[in-house]
Amino acid sequence: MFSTDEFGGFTERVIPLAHITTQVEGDPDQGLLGEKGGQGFPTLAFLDAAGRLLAKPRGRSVEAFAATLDEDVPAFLAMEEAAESGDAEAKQAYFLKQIELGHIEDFAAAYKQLDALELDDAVAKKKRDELAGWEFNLASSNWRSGNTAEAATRLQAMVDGDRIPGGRNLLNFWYVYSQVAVESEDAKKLEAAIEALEEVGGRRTARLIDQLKEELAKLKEELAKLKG
Amino acid sequence: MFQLPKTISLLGAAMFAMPLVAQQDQEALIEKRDAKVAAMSEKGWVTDYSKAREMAAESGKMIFVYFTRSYAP
Repeated sequence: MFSTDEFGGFTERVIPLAHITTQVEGDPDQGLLGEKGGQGFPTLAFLDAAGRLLAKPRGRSVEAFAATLDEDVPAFLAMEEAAESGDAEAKQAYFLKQIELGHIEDFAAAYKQLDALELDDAVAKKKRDELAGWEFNLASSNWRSGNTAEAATRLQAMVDGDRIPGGRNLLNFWYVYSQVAVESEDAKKLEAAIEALEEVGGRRTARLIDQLKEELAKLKEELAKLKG
Repeated sequence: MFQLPKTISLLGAAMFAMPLVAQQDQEALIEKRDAKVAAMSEKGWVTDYSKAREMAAESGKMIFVYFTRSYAP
């Protein structure tokens, strides 16, 4: 599809960016896919000049890309403008859209704001799940980019604030938590991760748990030496 | 220590039961990256995120981003 004239015509209307995940140590922006909510390859998205996610394409065709650019992106920008004008209804709709698109900086405040809205239970749950997903994406992205300290802080805030994601991200959460604990040489957190992985992973995580236990034993030995 | 490459997506528990994914050596990864960058650039894609943002700011256009990878066979 990318090699067609039709797609060539479409790229004249946008800045076509190929973001390449490389696994090369030190390459910049390697956490970008996760930051924009991508979980696999290929992922497509529309961003603005500030790098904000504005929309995901409606489908995998040039027609769908164009419809997203011509309708969904302007609709979001119009919603943003209406919210900025102070209209209460527009502000709420914009806030919920921001959650969907991951435009959240202060997650604790976002949860509080969400709880204050009188939403249908199913909608509220969906939005809480989206928030948890984005917060975990950011933490994973921090970790993948080598910002272990930032990842540790974010993950711990999620644990302390009872904001651990559910579904398939639950296991992923504790996996990343365990890896950050190992890299931070934090025996207490590693113990907590092992306990959680044993509970949520079952047999699937047996091998990982064995290796984490070895790491924990090493960490404890080192701590004992330091104390002794 | 068992470690999955950090750049792969953690999509499911089945992954934990898979054989260790050997980290390819950096030299090979750099070679693959350079080849991918060259191929995508030749097709008209911008491959630098900062540059794309600058271009978007200057032109008023949106960025259409295609996330891909260079390390897979």
